[in-house]
Amino acid sequence: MAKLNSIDELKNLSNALAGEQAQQSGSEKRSLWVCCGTACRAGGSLEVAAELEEAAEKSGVPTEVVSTGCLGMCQKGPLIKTMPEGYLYQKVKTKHADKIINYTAKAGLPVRELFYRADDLESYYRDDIFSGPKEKIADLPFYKKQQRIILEANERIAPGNVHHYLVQAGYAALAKALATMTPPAVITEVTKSGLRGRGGAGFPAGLKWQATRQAEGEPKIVVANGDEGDPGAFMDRSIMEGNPHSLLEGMLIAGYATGARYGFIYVRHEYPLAMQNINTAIVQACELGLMGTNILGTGFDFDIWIREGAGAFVCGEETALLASIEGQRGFPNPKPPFPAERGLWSLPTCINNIETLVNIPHIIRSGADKFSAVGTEKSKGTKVFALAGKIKNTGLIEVPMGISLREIIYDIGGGIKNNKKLKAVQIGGPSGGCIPADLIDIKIDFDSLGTVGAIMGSGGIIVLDEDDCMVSIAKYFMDFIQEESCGKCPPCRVGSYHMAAILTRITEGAGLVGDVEKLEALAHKMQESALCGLGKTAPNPVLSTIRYFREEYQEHINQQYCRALSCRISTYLIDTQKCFVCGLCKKVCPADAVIETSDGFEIDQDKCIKCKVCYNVCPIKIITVEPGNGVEPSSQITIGTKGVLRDGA
Amino acid sequence: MEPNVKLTIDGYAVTVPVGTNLLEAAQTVGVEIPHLCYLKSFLGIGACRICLVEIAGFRAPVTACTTLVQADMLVITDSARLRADRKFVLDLILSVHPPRCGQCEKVGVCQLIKYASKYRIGKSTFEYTEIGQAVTDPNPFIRRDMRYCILCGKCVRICQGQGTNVLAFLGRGIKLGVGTPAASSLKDNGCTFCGSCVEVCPVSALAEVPKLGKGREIKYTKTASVCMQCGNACPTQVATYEDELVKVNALDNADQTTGYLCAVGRFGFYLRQGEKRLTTPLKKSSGIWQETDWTEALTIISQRFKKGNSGLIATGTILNQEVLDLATFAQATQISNLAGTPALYASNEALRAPAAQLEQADLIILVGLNPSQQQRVFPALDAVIKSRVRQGAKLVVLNDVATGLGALAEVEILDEPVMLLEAFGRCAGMSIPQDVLGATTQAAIIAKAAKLYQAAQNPVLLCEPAYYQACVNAIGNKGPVLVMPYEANAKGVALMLPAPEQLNCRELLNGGVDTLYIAGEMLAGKNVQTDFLIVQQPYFNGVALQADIVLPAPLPWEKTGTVVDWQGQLKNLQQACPVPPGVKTYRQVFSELGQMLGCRLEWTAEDAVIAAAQLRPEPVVRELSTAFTPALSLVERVKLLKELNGLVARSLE
Repeated sequence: MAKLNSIDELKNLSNALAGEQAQQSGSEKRSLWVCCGTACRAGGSLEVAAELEEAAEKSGVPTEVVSTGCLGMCQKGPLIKTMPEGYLYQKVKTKHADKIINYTAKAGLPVRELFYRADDLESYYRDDIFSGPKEKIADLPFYKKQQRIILEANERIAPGNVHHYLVQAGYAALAKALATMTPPAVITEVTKSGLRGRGGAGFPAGLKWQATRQAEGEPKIVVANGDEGDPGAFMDRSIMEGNPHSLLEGMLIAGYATGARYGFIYVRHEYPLAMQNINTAIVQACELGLMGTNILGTGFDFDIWIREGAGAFVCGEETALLASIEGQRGFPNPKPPFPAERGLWSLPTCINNIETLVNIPHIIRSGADKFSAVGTEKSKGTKVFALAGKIKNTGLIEVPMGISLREIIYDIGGGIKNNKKLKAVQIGGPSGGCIPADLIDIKIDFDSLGTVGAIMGSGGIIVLDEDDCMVSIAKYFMDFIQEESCGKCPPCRVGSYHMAAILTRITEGAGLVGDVEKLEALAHKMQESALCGLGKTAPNPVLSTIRYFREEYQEHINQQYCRALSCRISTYLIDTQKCFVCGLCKKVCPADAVIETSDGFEIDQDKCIKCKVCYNVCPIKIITVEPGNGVEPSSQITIGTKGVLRDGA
Repeated sequence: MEPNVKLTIDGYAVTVPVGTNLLEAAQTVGVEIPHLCYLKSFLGIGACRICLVEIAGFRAPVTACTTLVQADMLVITDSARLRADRKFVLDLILSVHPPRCGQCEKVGVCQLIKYASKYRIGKSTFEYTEIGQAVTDPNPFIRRDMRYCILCGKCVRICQGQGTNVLAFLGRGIKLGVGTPAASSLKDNGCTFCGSCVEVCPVSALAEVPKLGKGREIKYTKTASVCMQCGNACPTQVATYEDELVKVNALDNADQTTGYLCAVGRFGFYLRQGEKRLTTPLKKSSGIWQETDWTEALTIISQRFKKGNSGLIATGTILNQEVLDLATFAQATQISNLAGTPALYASNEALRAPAAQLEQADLIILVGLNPSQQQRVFPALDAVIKSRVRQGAKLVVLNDVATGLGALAEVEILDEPVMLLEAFGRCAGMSIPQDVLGATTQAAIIAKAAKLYQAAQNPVLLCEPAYYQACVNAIGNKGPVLVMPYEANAKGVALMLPAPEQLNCRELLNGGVDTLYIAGEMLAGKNVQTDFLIVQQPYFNGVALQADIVLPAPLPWEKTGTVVDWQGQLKNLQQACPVPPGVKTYRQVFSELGQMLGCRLEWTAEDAVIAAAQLRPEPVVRELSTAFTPALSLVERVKLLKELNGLVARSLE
């Protein structure tokens, strides 16, 4: 690739490439865009792509097979989008390759069995039976309510091909900023757009840039935080994997605006594909003269390096991340001083989330007004979420701020799996909270989520149904924090340990009266005294579950009963009156707790390990679960700062 | 001077320099903010969460150790909210700290108990869980027990700060601990056993092995002393328990140079317990050592002295007062051959040069010296320089071999030091053109060093004694030149002794006299060629093995006096332990010998030391041809320092 020496050369190249592509789309040659995001790769999309190429060669049909980044609907992968028809094929296997080539590539005909259809009969009868399968992306309910500003480009770009990005007006925003805007003007534009940090806390990006620009010290540094550690979240991964150049462009603009000279992308160790694709993109950008010294002949210098994390969750916290880049142990440091004043190697550092940075090219290219037209008053633009849990369509979605949780779950996600009842939605990961089912009309934006005890977080949404025990969920997150706490400050290191211990004993039926209050007190004190954002927000999952599901905690403690039947407490009983003595329960019991008597079957409570297997296997569902585990609740208690004694003890 | 900031802490008006943190600012007015993880001279890390303070206008409390003063700040260090926060944190720490204060030797000096009692926490309100375990790493110096560790990280930071990098944080969450990779031993990780980590440990996670089982630290009697093992003469604090020496640590005194002590300084007393301490005079008759009594020994000596042609040598390991006593004795008995061992490696002029303070230096130029903690060559100097560089001082190294400190140096030039100094001296007086500075030739690098020197406010040249004159010639009068001697009181000996009248030390040792008396341990294990050798020193080793009569002498912590350290500063030693029976001080010996020889000895007054220590001639630029050539080669000189290293290495096996 020849180095571009001016902005005009960049424009000419982009126009030439666009013309080339237009010409090609007019020709007979069809292209197949195979999703090669991590999820589809796991489903075998690389093999599918290879098979398609082979089949095309064998049949002599001129076909272009392109590997793209994540298309979002991971549950139905591997996905293929065909051009120019725009069909979306889902769950493609290698066996379909010949047919796709013969039908679609040769004649433009669809392969109907690969179209999206509802999985379950109910939705099938409701939606699909009259309208037929969904042929194109826009027809799919999963995509219908989405507004994909950031993610849409993934469909049209092979991550290793900078030309694809240039055709999508890539680097046009950089060119615009360099040619027509002063750095303060760029910051003004970003401030005007109302863009807030997508890492979770929602700090206005423009203010951060301004602070870095004004801070004393040279050289300044831009850091992209790609240490996406929340369980179940993979928004940044798909951006870094699928559209690495948009990240580079965002960083270049950030560098130009803040007056920075160097950029670092901190990618977690678990994302090898992302690192590989970013590396390729950096090499391409350098070759094209879009990075390095005297970028596009404008005199602007900027270099970007990748730094790989070593697998610590806490390194997503900005000060810990900076320590990690410096080669230190990933310990957070107290703020102030903020990184904008004293960051990497004590230099002014602007550290933004990946998603925040990829929004920048869009804002500069289309203008702040267009960006801020989407969203609510205080939360502008779109937000990418990773949808997971007990929901029909899991995957990656991008929705406008202000969309309701109900729309996300029922319209985009297609509702709860197996037609169970929605219980709650966990949003924001280990720093977030659980929103109960009756609040799902809440609007998704930074401020409304705060009012219900959750946070936007980096964008993980986990849908919970009636089989999920809320105490166990809280315990899961507290165990996670306990494992991942860096251990620097006692409130997080020891506080989370004690909280996890209390939650564990509650889920094991050994909870003590007053434990809930003790948890609350611990949580509030941790929020007050912990060092970093991780520690301060770590009690959120516990506090929000107590807030909305206190009675579940009480049931665990007072009655040894878990209504989700997920904790191994409670008493399992066989209703001998109704039992028709099939003996299945005895056959499956791993603990030999089912005893055959002259009257039928009985469960030996001393042996029962409450594994729920007999309950699930019983063909006539006559095994009941009663509160209490046969043991009187403990009455010897030492609690909190002040002992609380059980009534009547 | 940095400008000052005015603020209010707990109602007191405080004025401190810009860049001071709140913890130190509060200390200036006597307000003690509780803290467990703050380490003086290091940046605050805000880990322990106990130094939380409230600041007007701030929503949440902030840590005092990480918050820098700002004009008109209104700080409150004690309130119900802060007390509750601190109590909570202490409660958590105590919930994973063994509740076994009854058997803990740290009680009384333990920081955790101090605050626990201040905030009236008896037992943790949480269930106690034992976290971590006692570390199995048998060594005679440092005992580690992670059960007691509160993870303040002071040991890790001090170890990294002084460049030894042995201890590190390992693990996450509740399993976080301080240790070495894969639980390997300290020795395998290159630990020098300086014990700085033990020094800063606020609890009993780290402890000195020698003091284990010797009572609670609070019961110890602590006395200021000086380590006499090498030229660094580090100030120490000697702790005794029932008249037994149990612990030596660095003197915590802000205006002293160093808070560092090496393994020899800290544990030397313990290591040398294995050596033969002399408690009775020994004489050699027909090649066999025999115990004798003082009367017989002194009679033999006085008879030798009466014969004439005698010489006296003061080593650099005796105190100023003892040197003066020796001089008095020499004068009274008219023994004119009196010399000091420092003359073996340094010129009188170099040793008598004016005093200086490395603590205030903003540029340190290190000439011909290669201090190293690992090699045990001036380990304390290595640590001090590293600490100064960490605090912003610049370092220039001129040496003919690559040095351990080279990596920290702004400029390191490797070539013949005298030649380099000449070139440096020429540059230092010139205005250096900017375009030279970017170049990489040696001349340009020297110019860069000279530029740093020109810009420095308080440069200090620190050199191997042999390069003293070359250093003085190079820089003239801007900034002092300090020579690094090999013996603790080398400078004191040079200042206290009159100029040698007849034979110098080298000639005395090489058979210039028939009878030679050496006071103190001679570090140089030289072959002494004299007819009759008398040595008075604490242990039966080294030169004593060549002697005809050996007299016992007190150890440094058994005497009171002063020394002049490597920086030319006077330092005090106080007697901490009684002189053991059978051991006589130098003065006692001289006075008895004087009586036998029929002389009257008039001891010099106490202030004579101070007067003598003040006679510091200004350095003079001279032709190098008249320069001093040391009697011992550099290899021999450095070897002296490593002798004790063998002691440490042996004890680790």
